[in-house]
Amino acid sequence: MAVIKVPKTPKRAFNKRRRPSALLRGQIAHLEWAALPASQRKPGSLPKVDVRTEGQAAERIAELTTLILEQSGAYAKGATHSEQKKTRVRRAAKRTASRATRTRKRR
Amino acid sequence: MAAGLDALKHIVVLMMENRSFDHMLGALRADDARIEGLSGTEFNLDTTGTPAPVKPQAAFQGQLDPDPDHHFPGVDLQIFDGNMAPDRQPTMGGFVKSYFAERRDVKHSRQIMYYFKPGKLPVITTLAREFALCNGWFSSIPGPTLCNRAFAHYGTSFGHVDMNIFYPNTIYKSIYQRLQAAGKTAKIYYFDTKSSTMEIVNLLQHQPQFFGVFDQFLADCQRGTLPDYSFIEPNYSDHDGDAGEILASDQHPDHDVREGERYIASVYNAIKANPALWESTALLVTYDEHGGTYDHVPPPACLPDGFVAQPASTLTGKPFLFDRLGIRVPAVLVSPWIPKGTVVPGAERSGGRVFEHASIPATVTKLFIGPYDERSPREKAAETFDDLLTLDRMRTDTPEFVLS
Repeated sequence: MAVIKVPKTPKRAFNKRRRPSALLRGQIAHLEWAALPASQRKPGSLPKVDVRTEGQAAERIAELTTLILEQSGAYAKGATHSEQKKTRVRRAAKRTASRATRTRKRR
Repeated sequence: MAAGLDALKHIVVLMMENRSFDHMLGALRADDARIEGLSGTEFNLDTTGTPAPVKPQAAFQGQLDPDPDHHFPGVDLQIFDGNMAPDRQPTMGGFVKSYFAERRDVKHSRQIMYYFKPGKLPVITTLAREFALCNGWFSSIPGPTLCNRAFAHYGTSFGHVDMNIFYPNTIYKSIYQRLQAAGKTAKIYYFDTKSSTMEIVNLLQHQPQFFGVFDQFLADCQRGTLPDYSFIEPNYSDHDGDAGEILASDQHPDHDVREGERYIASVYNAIKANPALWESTALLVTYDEHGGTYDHVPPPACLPDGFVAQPASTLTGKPFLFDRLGIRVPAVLVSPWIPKGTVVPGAERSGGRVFEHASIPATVTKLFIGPYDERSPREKAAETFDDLLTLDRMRTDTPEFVLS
């Protein structure tokens, strides 16, 4: 049986300040769209994305994912949910609503 | 029925990001002529008309920045080299010209022809040599990530060739919904909340029960509670985690390819560490699309999908009938019931087999659900890969990966 050693990736490969790819920006746009109240969603019209680094993108993706799961009731079923997380979700919801308003104003 | 197929209870799919077959595995042809890789003589012309040959000089990071174009018009240029005639044939001659448009630097644009030496990618090349390598697995659309990933989840992209995916009125159910309705189990494991899921936001929103994180996948492997079907997403970004810095493992340019190698190995190790799971699981490692990197095999024509993308979406001035596949990507099927060194002939040989991402729901449906009519024409016509588990006796000589 062959034993293959897989080397560690050098630490210098990490760069959370890298410009986010179109893929990450698209992911955020979809999550932002899904997090909007249903009445504000327009198929074919994605919210603007204003993150500048991969690190920021990851933080925003986490907020939106948590918010969407919260809205869908995923956390309601049994999973213990800390107050801290609930606060984060409420903050994220507030930010999403205010971004949606800004986007509408720009149009 | 072969004993391996009889034992098969779980399918796990790991879909990485944005690398072509030749870019990752093209060098393997030097050791095994059955592999439809690179001869070393392939080239494209750069924007000055000078040949830019393939070279085994791909780097782990830093070479593909800015991100090579892989949107529909860019891929059209890569495949057809700018020829827009009605009777045009794919030449795979426009990769360097396409990459030149990103930075307008001739020298830099030639790097899109670079490929990896096998020794630099010990995980994917070992799996390719040890298990079943598909010479002819193509992305489903000559376009970007989201529409291609949609084929893995739904067997279609519902007419989309771009990143604007909305599914307000899906006419076909996702493979996860189908399995649930059939009393089977399915899960999509994304890496963590900061990486989340790509493309299937509508499922996240309406069917959150289908989702878990990678740590849960590891625990499910250990406990033997893996669902019938698992789809694994890599980490899509460099970000801070609870225990420090977490590197992206998706291999999307310009993320370090080595971290993706480690991720593939960790999925393989998790399954192999549980003997009962190892015996009853097939792991498919593939890539959503080529990400703009060079491949020499022209994508073949395919059965139209029943949808039409209009010129306003394709941005090529032409409609697209979903009648041609996208660019070839690596695809390796892993199971101890597969003979060592299996190479599945592809489009290069008459009688070869052409797979695409619709082959994933097609295979899962065939295995776990049975006859099922409410599927896209593409999925119904797609090749399935379950028959590659041909051994009557399980192998005991499969490799081990040790992550340092």
